[in-house]
Amino acid sequence: MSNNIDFKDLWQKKISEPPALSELVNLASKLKRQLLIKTVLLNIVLILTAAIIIGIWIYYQPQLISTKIGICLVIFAIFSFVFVQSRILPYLKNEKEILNLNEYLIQLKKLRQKELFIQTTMMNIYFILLAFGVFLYMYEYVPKTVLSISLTYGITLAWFSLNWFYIRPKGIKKQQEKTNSLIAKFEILQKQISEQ
Amino acid sequence: MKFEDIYKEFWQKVYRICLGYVNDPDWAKDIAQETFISVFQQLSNFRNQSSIGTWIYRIAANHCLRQIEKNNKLTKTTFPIELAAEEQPDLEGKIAYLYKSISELPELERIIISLELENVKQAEIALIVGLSEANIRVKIHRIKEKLTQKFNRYEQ
Repeated sequence: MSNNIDFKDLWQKKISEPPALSELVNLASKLKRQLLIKTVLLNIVLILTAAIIIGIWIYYQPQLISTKIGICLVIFAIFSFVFVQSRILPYLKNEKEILNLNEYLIQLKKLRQKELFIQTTMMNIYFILLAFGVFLYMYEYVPKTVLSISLTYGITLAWFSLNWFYIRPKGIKKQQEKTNSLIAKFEILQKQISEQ
Repeated sequence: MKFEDIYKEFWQKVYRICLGYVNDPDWAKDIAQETFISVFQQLSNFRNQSSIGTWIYRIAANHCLRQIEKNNKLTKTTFPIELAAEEQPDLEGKIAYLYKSISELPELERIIISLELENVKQAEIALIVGLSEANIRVKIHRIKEKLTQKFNRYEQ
């Protein structure tokens, strides 16, 4: 049995030709472009949504204050949801100091937990605002008969219930599973560091 | 220090650390490139608090660690052990076996041993990982023992 294997010598024999610097520059600009496209798309979605809703406002000229509040709530719900999503994207990118592995892991874990909290809370707020907004908005345009009101609101309520009780928990669960499995992996790594 | 000089001086070292981590040349190249992009973007923030090497290795180690978030590509390009044992342990085979063996260690050990094999001082490794120097020394000793045992089995 040999105890004198020169691992350093073997290790350092592995040589890889460094890619041309231009390749690195291209990759950097590609990453930058991707981020830019994402931001531009996000803004287009926001502007279009706002434009459509404001267009409805101008075209139909709502008279009741409830309709106007409804429109504002819907716009606010969409904006805040997309805004929060976009804030999560570039996390850790602006960190000035380069952390050591131990600190880095703690940060990664914290951020993921924060992300999960924000996404869950935001999703709840989004649904509530959207539902209220739509209910208020509809009131002006629904014919004021018992049948129309109960039918329109019944269908809308059913739709929101489906979202609230089925689609929303499913989305949250999916996100939780993903984040929790990452957090579990970070914890395994933290254990590796703390092991003596 | 100019970025071009840093790139020339550290590419091989960073690439090897990444390769030791994932044992997949293309993937290692991607991580190394991402590391250098971060180095380029953050170079103006480097204030000589540590040596430039320690600083770059910290970035590289963090990038390696973040691979966990990217996907479940944790299956490495490995060759079956039976097949490896039949091969003549020539130099190329030994190098490949070393990288494969390292990539099969727990994540933290991969990083520590890669830095040690890159001749990074133990005090610096301690700074990169965030552990005491004594702790790093013990860990390196244990990892080398593990690798020696593996190699002895391989060469038999």
